This record gives sequence, C-alpha cells and structure tokens, in this order.
Amino acid sequence: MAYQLYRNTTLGNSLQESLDELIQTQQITPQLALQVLLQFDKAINAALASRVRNRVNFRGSLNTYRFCDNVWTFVLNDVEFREVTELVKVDKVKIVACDGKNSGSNAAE
Amino acid sequence: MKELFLDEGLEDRVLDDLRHLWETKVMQSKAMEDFRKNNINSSDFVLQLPANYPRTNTQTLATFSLPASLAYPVQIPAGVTLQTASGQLYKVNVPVVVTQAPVGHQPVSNVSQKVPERSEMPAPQPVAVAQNPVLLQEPEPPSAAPHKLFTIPCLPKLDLDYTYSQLSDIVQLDGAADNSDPEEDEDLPLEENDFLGLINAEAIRALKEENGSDSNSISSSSDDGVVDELDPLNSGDDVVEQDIPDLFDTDNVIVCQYDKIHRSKNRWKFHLKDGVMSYGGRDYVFSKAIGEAEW
Repeated sequence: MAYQLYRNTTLGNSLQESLDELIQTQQITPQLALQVLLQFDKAINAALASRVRNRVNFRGSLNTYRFCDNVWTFVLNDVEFREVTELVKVDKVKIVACDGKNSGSNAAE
Repeated sequence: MKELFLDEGLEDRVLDDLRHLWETKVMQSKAMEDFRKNNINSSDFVLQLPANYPRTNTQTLATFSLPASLAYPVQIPAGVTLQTASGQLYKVNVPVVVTQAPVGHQPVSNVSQKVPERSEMPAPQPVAVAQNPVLLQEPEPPSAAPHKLFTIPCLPKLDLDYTYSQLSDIVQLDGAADNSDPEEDEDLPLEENDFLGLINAEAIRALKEENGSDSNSISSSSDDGVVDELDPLNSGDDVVEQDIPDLFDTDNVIVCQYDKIHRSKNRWKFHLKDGVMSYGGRDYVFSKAIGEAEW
C-alpha cells in the first residue's frame, strides 16, 4: 500500500472532487471511487519516484514543528525556494513529510 | 483502471467523463502550466468565423487539431492553411494568435483580427472542399469585403466562465454566501451572528479576561466589524489566531517524504525527497530537497 499523502495535492484534490461529482450523479459507487483513489496513490508514488529527477534547495525560518505518528509537519516563514532555473520566495509554507525510508508505514489522511 | 470500471459493469464513457472532469479541474486551477504538452489528446482550438461572414453556414464553428506539443500562445503566420477534421480548408490571410483560455478544457482562440477565407472555389457550396487542396493566392468570395477587423466574442469561453464561477463557489470555504439573493439577507446575518458568537465565545474563554457583561458588549460590537471580513478567519482576533492559520489550507503546501530531519539547538536541517510543492499558485515537484531553517 502506498502513502495516501499525495491526495492533498492539486492533482489529488481535483481527482477527489471529480469522483465526488460522479458519485452525486450516481454514475459510480463510493467503493469504486475508493479504488480509483488507491490506484492514484500507487501511480503517483511510482511516478514521483521514477519520473522526477530535479533538486530544490530552500532556506527560511521555522515557525512551528510537529512530529506525530512518524509524520513531520512544519510551518516555515519567509522561505526562498531555489532551483537551478528559478528562485521563488514565499511568506509562509507548510511542509508535510512522511517517513521516506523503505520500512516506513502508511500514513492515512 | 479500465478493468476495474468494466468489472463494475460501467461503460468506458464514465471513465472518460472522470478523466475529462479531472483534467478540467486541474487546468482550471492554473497550477500546472505545461501539463497540456503531455496530454495524449491533441489540443483543439475552435476557429470562430465572423458573425457577419457572408456565407450561409459560417455560423458553425470549425474545430482544428493542433499538435499536442505546442506551447500556447500559438502564432499562426499569414498564408498558413488550416484543415478541419472534415477536410475543409481555411487559409489564414492575417496572422492569427491562438491563446489558451484560462478556463476550460479546450483552448479557444482569441483573435483580434483575422480574415479566414475559404480556399475552395467561390461558386460551389462550401461543403465539398476536399478536392481542392490547392491554395488560391487570393481567394476572395465576391461578397466578402477585403478587410474585416473585429474582435469575436467566443461563446464557449462564456460557458466556461460560468462553470469556473460555479467551481469557485464550491471551493469557497466559509459559510457566507456572497452571491445569494438579496431577499435572504435577513437570514444571513442570523447565521453569521451565530457563527461569530461561537468564535467570540472561544476567544473569550481563551483570554479569560473579560467579565460577563463586558463580553456581551464586546461580542456585539465585534460582530459588526467581523461581518465584513468573515472570509479570512485570521482577522479581528489577534492572540488566539496563532494556531488557526496553521491549519488553514490556503497555505502554500509541500507534500513529500523525509529522509532525514536534523536539529542543532535551534538550527534545523531538512533532507526531503519525492515531493509535490504548491506555492505562488503554481505546482512544482522535486526528487530531492534540502533546506535549513532557524526556529
């Protein structure tokens, strides 16, 4: 089972909204929607691991940190994200990170 | 996913509907700029013929297929021939700029001026064109004016705007209905007051400073001020709002996995991997991210 972490992304949220619309119009069952989401989890985890190959550096100040159920949640302020191609500055950013080691357990939403 | 859907006895159409809805939403979020390039389907743009074009059946729209790898906006120089799926040929006399509409699945052409003229012979009906692939240098239907400069309102775009505003309403987080009927104004303030009463009650409990009588006056006076700004929760009250913005999901969010999180005194170092970032309204991904912060 793959992390359900990526469901709260633009991609994942739009998928969930679309699924909800289809459920409301009775075109699919909630069970099927759940299967779709599970498949999405597998696909997004595999895609991120294999198809993405870029690196980002960032620097900022830490506002809060939280470590619960092996999930880190940070809130950073005045962050600069630096990639080779571009630099982006943000006032506030929230980072949710699950355990990346192979033996990490699943994180439900 | 097709097998799962077929197992349920559903048609492929439902899966296509899902994909279409999903892609529509993703494009409407404007968060993914070059996603269109990776789209399997070829991108179409709808060429809207001028309303006062003399031909009878020019009210219909012609759909062209552009190569999927084009980046918008696309500029089509003069003299290019466009062919629709049905075989009709259109010759572009004036440079055409095809821009991608911010909403909707199909990019719609926003052309400020264009004079698309048919390359078929003016005499026969425009239906049978396929036999005339040869471009005429100056195909001018006798009734066509040599110059037509106008902007064309794009009908599909209007529909898409409507859909976008619908979606905006759905995404709206707070309970205030900005677009509701004015007749329901009487009901709204009651709901807002109840809602604000809850917020203020919590604030008062947290502060533990006001007396009972003072809290009533404060809640009634702050109701008027906060009614206007119900949308951002972190307005009005100061002290208590430290935690609430933390959970507010208009934050720029990064969802990833961590390799190593390190701390020395108040210096934190992050080693992250396989992340999806959303900030500044755009989405990014990374395979590795290294960061430092001081707490």
